Amino acid sequence: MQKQPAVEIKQVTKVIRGRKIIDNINFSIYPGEVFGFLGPNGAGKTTTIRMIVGLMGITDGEILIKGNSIKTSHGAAMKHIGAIVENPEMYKYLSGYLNLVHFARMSDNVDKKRIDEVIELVGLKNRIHDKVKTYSLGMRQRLGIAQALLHSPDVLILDEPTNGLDPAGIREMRHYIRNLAEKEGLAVIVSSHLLSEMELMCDRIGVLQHGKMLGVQQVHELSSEQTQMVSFQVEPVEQAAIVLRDMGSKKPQIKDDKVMIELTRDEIPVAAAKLTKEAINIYGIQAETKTLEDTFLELTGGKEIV
Amino acid sequence: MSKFIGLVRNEHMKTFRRLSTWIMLGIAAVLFITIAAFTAYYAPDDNSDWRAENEQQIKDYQQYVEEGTLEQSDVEGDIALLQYQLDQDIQPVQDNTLPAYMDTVMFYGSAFLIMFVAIIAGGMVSTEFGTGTIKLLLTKTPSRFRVLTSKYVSMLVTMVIFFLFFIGFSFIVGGIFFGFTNFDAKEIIIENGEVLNSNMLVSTIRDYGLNFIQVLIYATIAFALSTVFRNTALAIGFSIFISMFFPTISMVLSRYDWSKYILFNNVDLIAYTPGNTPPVADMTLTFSIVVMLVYFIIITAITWFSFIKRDVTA
Ligand SMILES: Nc1ncnc2c1ncn2[C@@H]1O[C@H](COP(=O)(O)OP(=O)(O)OP(=O)(O)O)[C@@H](O)[C@H]1O
Ligand SMILES: [Mg+2]
Repeated sequence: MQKQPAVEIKQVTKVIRGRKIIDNINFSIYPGEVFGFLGPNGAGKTTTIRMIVGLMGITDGEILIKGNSIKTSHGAAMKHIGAIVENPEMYKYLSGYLNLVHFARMSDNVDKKRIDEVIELVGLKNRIHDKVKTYSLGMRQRLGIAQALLHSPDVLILDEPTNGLDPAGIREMRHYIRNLAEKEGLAVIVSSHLLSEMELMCDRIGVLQHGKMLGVQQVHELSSEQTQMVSFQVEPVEQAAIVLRDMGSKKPQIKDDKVMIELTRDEIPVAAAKLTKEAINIYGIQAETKTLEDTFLELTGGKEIV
Repeated sequence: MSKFIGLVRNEHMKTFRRLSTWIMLGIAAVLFITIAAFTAYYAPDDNSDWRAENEQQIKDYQQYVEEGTLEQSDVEGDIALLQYQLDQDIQPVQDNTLPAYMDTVMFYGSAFLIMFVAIIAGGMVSTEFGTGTIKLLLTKTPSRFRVLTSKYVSMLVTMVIFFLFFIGFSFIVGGIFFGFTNFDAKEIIIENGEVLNSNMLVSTIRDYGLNFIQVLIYATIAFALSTVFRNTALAIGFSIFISMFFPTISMVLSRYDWSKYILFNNVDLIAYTPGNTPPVADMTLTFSIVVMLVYFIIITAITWFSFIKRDVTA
């Protein structure tokens, strides 16, 4: 990627009361990409996000938003950022609409038309004049996103955006985020400790633990090259194991009525074709997409909280 | 600049869209009407003889002094005033007149003003931390300095609104109950044996003005505590507590000369109007203004510095 990065985090360290919460992390996020910030509880995701948006001071290092230092040119940097830090907290005694009016007044060039546009975008039109205290969590998330998008930022930062959403809400949020990155060219930063979710939503994932960045990985590259455990529910099982013998790197395993084998993504249809050719009945194929999770667990050494 | 006005409007919207603000104004309204109703109910009938009453009161005072219930020095002023009214044939201002009623409201209302304004000022910053909305407020383009200043300015405007409400509403209620008359009612004050005449309405408005300074100081303290400790209960509790109990503490401390440097001994400028005395004898109006200014600058400097520099972990 030779594009100018939207966000640059340069050798950032945060010390709170003598404790190093964030230890010399470095990464950049580019326009049009969704960057996932992954790490177990207490890894320092929220702390990093707080530093990016200027809520917390940076002990050492620098953060640039479109080339503007958050330390020295807060206004110029914040112009490009829309953010929800932790929970979508709004003024509960105001209507959703008045909340948006409130934040519109804090930004440049946000008129009534833009407010209506954003309300339409997040699908809150029917309830926008109700008080926020009557909203469900999902509706508050939407209002939070509306607030973050109001001033048409280039960078969207969402800390645990799917927290508390139901599966339908999570799916919707995912589409939403992908859309903003792909169609509008926003750079999106999301944090989560749920890997499966990040895999579906992000282009790149940075793994954080104990305040250290353990590595940044390209999501799709990773899932097409690396192997995953695939289980074939077949009949007869023994014959299927023989057919699949020379596929994959390890020997197939038989478990009840299933054959388990490690394959890459591209090998799955090949294996299925082979089984069909040998007149083996296939009742189900399940890919256990846990390679990234394995990587994650490997990197972080289990899910224990710091 | 227009954006700064937008910020102040935001703060205003938040103050006046809250039910609690209207409850406070409602309490004030009920209080005013109650005072008016009581005053009207207990008013003497028109054909009562104020001269006879004044003479009776003087006799009562003298009797108390003879019995030893009251000190001669305590009642001297009152007796002189009653006698002066008899000699000059000036009827004392009746309680059931508009100026006297407004003066009564001012007297009882000032504690409420401090309380209401402290409640609003004490929640202004800390509730944003409590609800987490501070994160949204500080992740927009306006600097922290501007955000905090807009809150303070909004607090000042809210104070003005409350004062105007107290003056305006008590004027209307008083007028309805007692008629829009007696605007020239005179307040007689005897100070050092000298008799001072002043228009009662004018001195009531003057006292509101002087009270504004006092309320401003307590509000600023509530605002400062709210910002520095990010705790609403502490901010409101401390400022109301001090405003209520400091007069007692002040009396205990008044024999120490240094007590004149305590901020709270200087906030009540009504002490420098005729008929009143400051907590420590050699205090002057200029002295109190300088003391208040020094405290004000220190308190606001700490407040703004703390708000701008500290991490937001809400
Ligand atoms: N104000 C603070 N004072 C002291 N320590 C803090 C403070 N804020 C955060 N920490 C510590 O910093 C570490 C990182 O916290 P942070 O909230 O960034 O984690 P996180 O990755 O967002 O975790 P989670 O998944 O639980 O949200 C934790 O160990 C936490 O205890
Ligand atoms: Mg977090």
